[in-house]
This record gives sequence, structure tokens and C-alpha cells, in this order.
Amino acid sequence: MAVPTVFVIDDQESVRQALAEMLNVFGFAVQAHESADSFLRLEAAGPGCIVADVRMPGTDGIELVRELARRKRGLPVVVISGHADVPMAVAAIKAGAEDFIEKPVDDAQLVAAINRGLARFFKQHDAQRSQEMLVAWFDRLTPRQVEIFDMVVGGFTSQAIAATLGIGIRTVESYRAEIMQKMQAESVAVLVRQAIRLAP
Amino acid sequence: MRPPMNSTENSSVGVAHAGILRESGVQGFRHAPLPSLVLAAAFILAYIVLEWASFLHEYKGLPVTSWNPGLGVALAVMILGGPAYGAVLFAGIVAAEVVLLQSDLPWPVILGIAVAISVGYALVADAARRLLRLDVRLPHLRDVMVLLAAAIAGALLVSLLLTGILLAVGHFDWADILVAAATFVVGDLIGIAVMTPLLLRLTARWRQRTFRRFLPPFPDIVFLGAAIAAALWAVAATETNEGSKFFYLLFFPVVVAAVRHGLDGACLGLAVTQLGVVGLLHLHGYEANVFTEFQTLMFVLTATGLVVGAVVSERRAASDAVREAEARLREKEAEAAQASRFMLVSGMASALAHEINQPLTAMRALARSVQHLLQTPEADLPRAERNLATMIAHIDHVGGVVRHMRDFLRRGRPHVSTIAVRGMLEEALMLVRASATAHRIRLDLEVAEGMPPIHGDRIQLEQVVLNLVRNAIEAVAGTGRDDGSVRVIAQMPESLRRIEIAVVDNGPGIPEEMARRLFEPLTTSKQEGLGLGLPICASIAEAHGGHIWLASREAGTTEFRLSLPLDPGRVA
Repeated sequence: MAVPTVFVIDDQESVRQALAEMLNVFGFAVQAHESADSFLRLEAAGPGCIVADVRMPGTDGIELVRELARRKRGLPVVVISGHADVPMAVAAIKAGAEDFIEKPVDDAQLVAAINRGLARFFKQHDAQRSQEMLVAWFDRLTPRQVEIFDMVVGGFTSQAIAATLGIGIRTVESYRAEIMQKMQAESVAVLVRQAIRLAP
Repeated sequence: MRPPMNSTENSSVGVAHAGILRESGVQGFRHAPLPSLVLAAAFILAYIVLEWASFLHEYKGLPVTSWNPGLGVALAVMILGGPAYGAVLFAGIVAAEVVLLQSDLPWPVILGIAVAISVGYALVADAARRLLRLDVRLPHLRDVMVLLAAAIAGALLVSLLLTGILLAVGHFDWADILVAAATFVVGDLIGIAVMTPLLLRLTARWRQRTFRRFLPPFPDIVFLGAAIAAALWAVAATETNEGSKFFYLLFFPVVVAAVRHGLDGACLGLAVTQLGVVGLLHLHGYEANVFTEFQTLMFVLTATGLVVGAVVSERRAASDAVREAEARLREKEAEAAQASRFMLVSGMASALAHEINQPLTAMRALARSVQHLLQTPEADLPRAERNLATMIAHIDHVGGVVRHMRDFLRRGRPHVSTIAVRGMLEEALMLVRASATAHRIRLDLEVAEGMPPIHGDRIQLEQVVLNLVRNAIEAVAGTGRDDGSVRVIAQMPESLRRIEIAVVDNGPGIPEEMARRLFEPLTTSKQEGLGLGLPICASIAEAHGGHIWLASREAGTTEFRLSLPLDPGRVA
């Protein structure tokens, strides 16, 4: 996986560059943008965390948080503001911001928020990835195998399945083995958990 | 009673007397009806001295001299201290009669005369103050006229009483009346007309603590003294039994003194002239009727001098009052302008806090980066130094904003200087830029090439621009549009010795009703506004010889224009 990047978005050049410089000195890979719109135009921002000012021309900080929340793999956003007030902070957090920090920014608080955001992002990323894998595995099952998968996780024994479908018990056993192998499940219990995760 | 003659140092007695008036307590005067003992004793002494000094002629055992300075002092004291001082006058008259004149009149007559004079003048003094509302400082022509009228009325009344008494006791016969009465009247008149205003003015000066300003400057004293002496010499040299035809020469120094130094100058000039005339007559030893004739002329001169002096003083006081009112008005204008600046800045407080907070944010980040760089082994020193340099630039920027805000709010008088238009506009916008950013409004400044500097009060002109720009920002912000823009354009119309600064916004425009009353106080569309911003801007523009107007009230191109001359006349 690529090195995570901190994206600093502030319309005021002095603040943008100073924050970028500080985070860079602290060891982050940093990319600075003068507006949320110029950041959003990036095709695919790699993994990372966004540090954005609230008041900006065009898309503002809170709209940016909402926009990213709508996206499937939204980056975490730390919102910073010189006009801090409670309603604004509440709006930011409700929209899904990682944190809301007043200017002048306390760097310890900022770095902690960025790290928290990155950790959450990666965790989410991993979970998302395993889900995607599970779906891919499930898609490889044949319709007959899907039918038997449903009955196995439904608690039917091989004899019951064989009786219901009017097929031999051996045949059922071999379907079960194929399903377990395709779904990389070591036991029926694992299969049941997968079924729960796959449920819409 | 009748003034003894032989005049010396009349006016210096008067001055000494004014000092006594003050010592006895100015406050006690008006409220306490009882005469102060010290003052009463001093007055009696002064009266006797003046009687002695002015004793010149005797008529049938009566000292009928047409020069009665003691009475002038007495009237002044009664006007200032109240009619109760009539009793003191009575004592003074009796004492003078007994001590000085060793009069052979019988006691009842002496007492009757003393009662007539003291009661008569006490009534006159009281009437002048209470009925005619005489202002004892003689600030207006009216007061001088009241005083002269009181003198005439008093002199007529008292001489009537005196001749009546003397006729009744058979001391006079009918043939004496004309000579005696005329002398009484003229002597009283001239004594009052010369001495009373002089004392009242001296007292007024004393009370106002401007006693020294009573005297004209030294060169004037020398010149006027010489002029009076020359006129007196001319009068004496052309003397005949019929009097002098050059008496009118004495008008010259008196009128000059009155014109140049107002009522004070007239009083002083008249006292000196009177002293000279009396001295002259004393030296030459004139007949009583010639003396009376002189004194009649002298009364005309005195009345003229006093009237001219009063008119001059009054006009001077009026023009002083106007100047003072103007100065106060200017002060109030400056205060209003400053209050309006406070309003402007307090309205932008959060934007200004942002303007300072931004560089602080940058500075903190840079400081932490430098700290971190220095903590790493093999620190990247050039990078640390670069960051420090950026930091210093930010510090300077914040310092500039703070300093400028303080200048903008500074108290004090307008300060005229030569102003570079671009710099002035940039500084004004520095204070308002944060506001524009907060509302996402573009703020542009366009200054034409080769703009000459202007003259005026930089802070006040910035205030006008700031006011206009801030109004524009608020108007545009109210529309909520996202392409809001405010432009400040400075240009120089061709062939005119002036510059024009336009503030254009693409806000909602100004309704016609509002546009008509824009520059009137208390016209406002804002909740917290006082509606004083634009009127104060207009008065600042006018003080700089320029003006301010609404060039377009249309939505989308609302435009205010400030026109300023390159060479203003009066500035603020």
C-alpha cells in the first residue's frame, strides 16, 4: 500500500505553507491545496488524511467532509478554523469530521487527530477489503452450490439436504466440501459468519 | 456732601478701592444686605480723600464743584454691594462735611442733605440692578446706557432734593438755583460717568482673574498718554474766558482707546483725561461756571467714549464667542469622527481577529517546525533559518495590522500630511480585507498610474474609504451570492486638479427612498447601525474641500464616489 499523505487545504497561502512545512518536518508526506475544489478534482487521492480550513471560497470545509462521507473510500478530515464557534464545530463533527481544531493550531492535537484518522482509515480500508474478497468468493459459487450454502448455514444436516433436494448424501457432502474450499471456511461456524456479513 | 476740590490721583484711589472690594469677599456682597465693616471704613476714608481732592470751588459756603468722584465710587459700591451701602455713604458725607469743610451749615441741614444724597442714589442703584437688570460687568451697550441713564436720573433727583432743602431753609434764594443745580447735576453726572464704569470694570476684571488685561499694552499707554497730554496742552494754550475751542481734540485719544481696547480702554482713557482736565482747571483757577461748562463737555466726551467702548467690547466678545463655538464644534466633529471609527472597527472586530489569527497560526506552525528541525541530529539549519525568516515576515505583518488599527483609533486632532493615494488605500483595505474574505467577497484595488499625492488627514480619509468599503461588503454579503465583488478604483479625471475614489459593488443596489436620505444622520438599514457613518464621511470630505456622492444606486453596479482636490483649502 502507498505511503499515506496529509492533504493541507487552506485558501490562505501563509497558513497552508506553514502547516505543510511543519507536518513535513514531522515526517508526513504532505500535499497542499488552495481550495477544496482543487483537491476534489484529483482523480484518486491516495490513502491519507485531510487537514482543511472551514472558510474557503467554493466548497468549504464542512461541505468537503460531507462530500467525502458520500464517497465509498472517503479520507478522514481534520477541520481547522479561526472562526471557531460551537455550532460550526458540531456541524463538522456531525458531518463526520475526525476532529475540529481552533487556530492557532496546537500541533500535538493536530498530529494526534491525523494519526487517529489514518488508523481509522486503514482499519476501515481493511474491513472493506475483506468484505470485497468475501463477495468475490461467493460470486464464484454455482447456483446449486448457493442453494446448498443457504441450507447449510440454515442449519440443515447433510441427510436433510439430501432428502429435501432428492439427491444422494454423498453428493451433498462433496458440494459442501467444494463450498468450504471456495469460501476458504474451516468450519460451518465460519460459513455462518460469512453469510451474516454477506446479508444485505 | 458736595465734592471738595483740588484733584490729585483720583484714579489711583479707584484702583486701591477695587482691591478692598475683593478683600471684603465678593460672595458676601450679593447675598449679605449688611455692609462689611472693613469695606465701610475703607469707603468712608476713600470718600473723604476724594472729597478733599476734588474740592475746588465754594458757593455760598457749599462746596459746589462740578466733579464728584466720591459719588461715582459710592454708586459703584452700592451697585455691587447693595443699597445698604447707602448708610455708609451717609456716614461718609457727614464725616466729610465735618472733617474737611467745617461747614457752617446747621446740623439738621447737613443731615438732610446727607439723607437726600444717600437715599436718592441708593434707590437709583437698586433700581438699576433690580428693575433694569444692570449687569455689573457692563458686557453690553445696554448696561452702559442703563448706567448713564441711572446717573442722569439720580443727578436730577438729588439736585432737586438738595436745592429744595436749601431753598426751604433759606440758605439759597431763587437766583441761586440755576447756578447751584446745574453744578450739582453736572458734577454728579461726571463723577458717576467717569468713576462708576471704571470701578465696575476693575471689579469684573478682578473677579475674572484677568486684572492685568485691564491695562492696554505699554506702547499704547505711552501713545495715548502723549495724545491726551498734547490735547490738554492745546486746550490750555488756546484758553479764553469763553473756554477752549480745542476741547474736541480730547475726543481723539479717548475714541482711539475705546476702539482699540474696548470699554476698559475707554474707562481708563476717560479717567486720565478727566484727571488732566481737573488738574488743568485747578492750576489755572477758573471760575466755577467755566469749570461747569468744561465738565459738561467732559460728560459728552465720557458718554461718547463709554458708548464706543461698550460697542467695541460687545462686538469683540461676540466674535470671541463665535470663535469659541467654532472651536468647540470642530472638537465635537473630531470626537464624532473618532466614535464612528470605533464603531467601524468594533463592527469588524471578528474579521480583524481573524486577520491576526491567521499569521499566528502560521507562526506557531513554523516555530514548531524549527524546534523539531533543531532537535533532530544533523539538523537542517538552512531550512530552519528559512522558516524563521518567514515567521519574522508574519510577525511584521501582524505588527503592522495592530499598529495601524491603533493609529486608526487614535485620539486627537486632525493631522494634515502629504498622502500617497495607493498606500493610503492599501492600508484602509488591510483593515477590511479579512471581512471581505470572511464573506467570500473579492476585494480589488485599482489605482491609476502617476497618481499625484494629496493633502489631508490620512486617518480620516482612510475612515471614509473604509466606511464605504464596509458598507459595500455588507450589502453584497446580504445577497449571499458567491461571485460578490467590491472594487476600489482611484483615478484622476482629466484636466481637473482633483482625484476621485470610487467604491463599486455588485450588491442589491440602494432603494430610491434611502438614496435620497443617505447622507442625513440616523439613516440606516442596519440593525445595530447608528446611521452616522455616511454623514461623518460627508463632513470629512467637505473638510478636505471635496465631496462624496452616490454615483449609481443600481443593483450590480452600486457606486459611491469620493472627490478630493489636490490643493484643499481648510483641512479638518
